[in-house]
Amino acid sequence: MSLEPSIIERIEISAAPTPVRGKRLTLARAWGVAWRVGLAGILFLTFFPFLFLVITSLKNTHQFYHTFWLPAWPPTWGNYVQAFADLKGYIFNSLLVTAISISGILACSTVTGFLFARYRFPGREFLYYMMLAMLMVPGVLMLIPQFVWVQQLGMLDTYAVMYLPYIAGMQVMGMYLLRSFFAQLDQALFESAQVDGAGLFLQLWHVALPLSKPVLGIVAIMSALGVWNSFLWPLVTVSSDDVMVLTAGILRYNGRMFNQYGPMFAGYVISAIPLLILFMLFTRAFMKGITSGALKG
Amino acid sequence: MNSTPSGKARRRAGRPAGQPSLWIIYSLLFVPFSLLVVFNYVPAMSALGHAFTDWDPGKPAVWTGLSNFQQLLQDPIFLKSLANLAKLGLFVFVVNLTIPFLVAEMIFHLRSERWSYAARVALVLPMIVPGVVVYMIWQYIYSDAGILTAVLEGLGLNNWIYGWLSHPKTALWAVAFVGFPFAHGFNVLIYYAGLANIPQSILDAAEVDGLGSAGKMLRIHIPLMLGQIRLLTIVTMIGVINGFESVYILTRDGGPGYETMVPGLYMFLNGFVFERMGYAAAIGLLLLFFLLVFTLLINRFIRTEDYEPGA
Repeated sequence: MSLEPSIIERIEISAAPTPVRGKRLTLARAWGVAWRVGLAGILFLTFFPFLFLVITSLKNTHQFYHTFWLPAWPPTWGNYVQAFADLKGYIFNSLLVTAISISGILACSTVTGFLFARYRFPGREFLYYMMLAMLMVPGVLMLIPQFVWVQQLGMLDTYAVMYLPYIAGMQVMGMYLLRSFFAQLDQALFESAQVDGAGLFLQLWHVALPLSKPVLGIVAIMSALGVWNSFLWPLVTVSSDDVMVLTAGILRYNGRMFNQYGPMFAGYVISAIPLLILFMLFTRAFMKGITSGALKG
Repeated sequence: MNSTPSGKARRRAGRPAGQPSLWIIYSLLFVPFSLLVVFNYVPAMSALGHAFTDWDPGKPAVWTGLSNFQQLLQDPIFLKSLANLAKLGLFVFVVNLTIPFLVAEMIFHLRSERWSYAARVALVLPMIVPGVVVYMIWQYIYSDAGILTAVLEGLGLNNWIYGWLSHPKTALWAVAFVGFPFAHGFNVLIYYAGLANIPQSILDAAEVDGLGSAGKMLRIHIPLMLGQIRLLTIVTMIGVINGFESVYILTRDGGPGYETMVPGLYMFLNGFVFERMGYAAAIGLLLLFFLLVFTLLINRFIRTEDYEPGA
C-alpha cells in the first residue's frame, strides 16, 4: 500500500506537538499546548470542591478555622466514625432499596426484552410502544399524582414505595437495551438450543444471559446510579427514619449538624462511597452505560 | 429472525416453530406491565385529568375546566417563575452546550488514547456523587465559612462578599453557577463520541485544504455534530424544565422573595405545601406542553443531513 500525500502530511502534523529543539513554535503546537492547559484547568476546577470536601472531612472545628485550605494533621478520623454511626440506618436502607430495585429491573427487563426480541404474539407492537412511551413522560409531571396514588394505596413510609415505582420506571430503558442486544445475537444459537429441546426459560438462562453480561452490567449500573441518587421521591414519600434512604436522610442530618463541618462532610463522602466502589470495579461498563441510552435512541 | 417452518413443531398456523404458548408469554408479561400501569399509566392519566379540577387532599376533585390555567396565567408568582426559568435556561443552555464541546475538543486533541480515556473517566467520576450532596456542597461554597468567601478574602475583595443566595440581585446567578465549570461528563462523552465518529478521510481532506485547528472545529466538527448538539439541546431542556432539586436544596422556597422560584418548584410547593393538587397538576401539564413544543421546534430547526453521527 502506497502512502498517500494526506497520510504523510498527517504524520508530520501529529509529530508537531512533541517539542523538538530548534523548531519554531508553530501555530498548531500553540493550540496543542493551549488545549492541554485548558483541560488541566477545567479538571482542577471540577475536582476542587470534592478535594476540599475530603480534606475538610478530616478536620475538627479548630483545624477547620485555623488551616482552611491545607490538610490538617492529625486527621480527625472520628468524624467518619460519628457520621457512619449517625447514618448507618439510612445507608442500610439505601443499600437494600437499591439492591431490590436492581434485581427487579434486571428480572423484568430481561424477560420483556427477550420476549419482544424473540417471539411474535398478538399485541406485541402495541405493548412495546406502550412501554417505550413512558420514556417520554417527564418526571415532573408524575411526582404529585404518583404521590397521591401511593398514598391511596397505603404505601407511604414503606420500603416498597421506594422500589416498586423505580422498577416500574427503569425497566423500560433496560428492556430497550436488552431487546436490541438479544435481537442482534446470532439466532442460530437459539435454534440449536431449541433443537436440543430447550424451551424459553432454558434458552434465556443458558444461551441469552451468559452472552449478555456486559449489557446486564450496564443496566445494573445505570439503575444503581438512578436509585441510589434519587432524592425527591424518597423525600416526599418517606418521613420515618426507619425506612428513610441516605439522600433524603443526609439532608435531615445536614440540618441537625449545623456548622459542624467535619462530620457533615464525612457524611457527604460516605454517601458517594458505594457508587465509587462500583465505579472503580466496573469503569468500562460505567463509561459505556452513561451514554448507552442516548446514543442508541 | 424466524426459523423456517419445520412441519413438526409448527403446530399452530401463523406462528414460527418452537414458540412457547401465548399463555406463557402473556403471564410473563403480566408483572412488568402491571407495574408499568400501576405506577406510570395511572398517575400519568390522573395528572392529565386533575389539571382541570380543584383537588385538595382528602376531598374528591371538582371539575373546573380551564380555570386553573386561566388562574396560572395571571398568577404573578408563576409568571415570575417563568421569567426566572427563561434566564436560568438561557444561561444553562449556553454553558452546557459550549463548555463540554470545548472540553471534548481538548480531549480529542490528546494524542495518547490512554490520557484521553483517563480524562473522560475523570469527568464522569463526579456523576456518582448524589445530586443532593453536590447541591449541599454548593450551599456550603456560598456560605459565610465557605470557599468563595475565602477566595475573595484572599484576593482582598472583601466588599464582594455577601450572602449570594440571600441577596435578591445575586440569588438566581448563584443557583445558575452551581456545577461550575460545567464540564458535565455526560455532555462531554456525547460530544466526544461525535468527534470520534467523524471519518478520518474528511479530517485529512480538511488538512490538505489547509484548515487549521480552529477552522476544522468550526467548519467540520460542528456541522458534522449537529446530531449530538440536538440531542444535548433536548436533554438539557428537559433537565432545565424538570429540574428544581438544586433550587429546593439551595433556597428551599424559591427565595429571597421569589427571585429563585422556578415552575417545577412552584408545582412542588403547590402540591406538597399549599395542598392545591389540581393547581400543581395544571403546572405539570403546562410544563409538559412546553417540553413538547420545544422538542418539536428543536427537531425542526436542527436538521441532521444524511450523515447520522452516533447512530
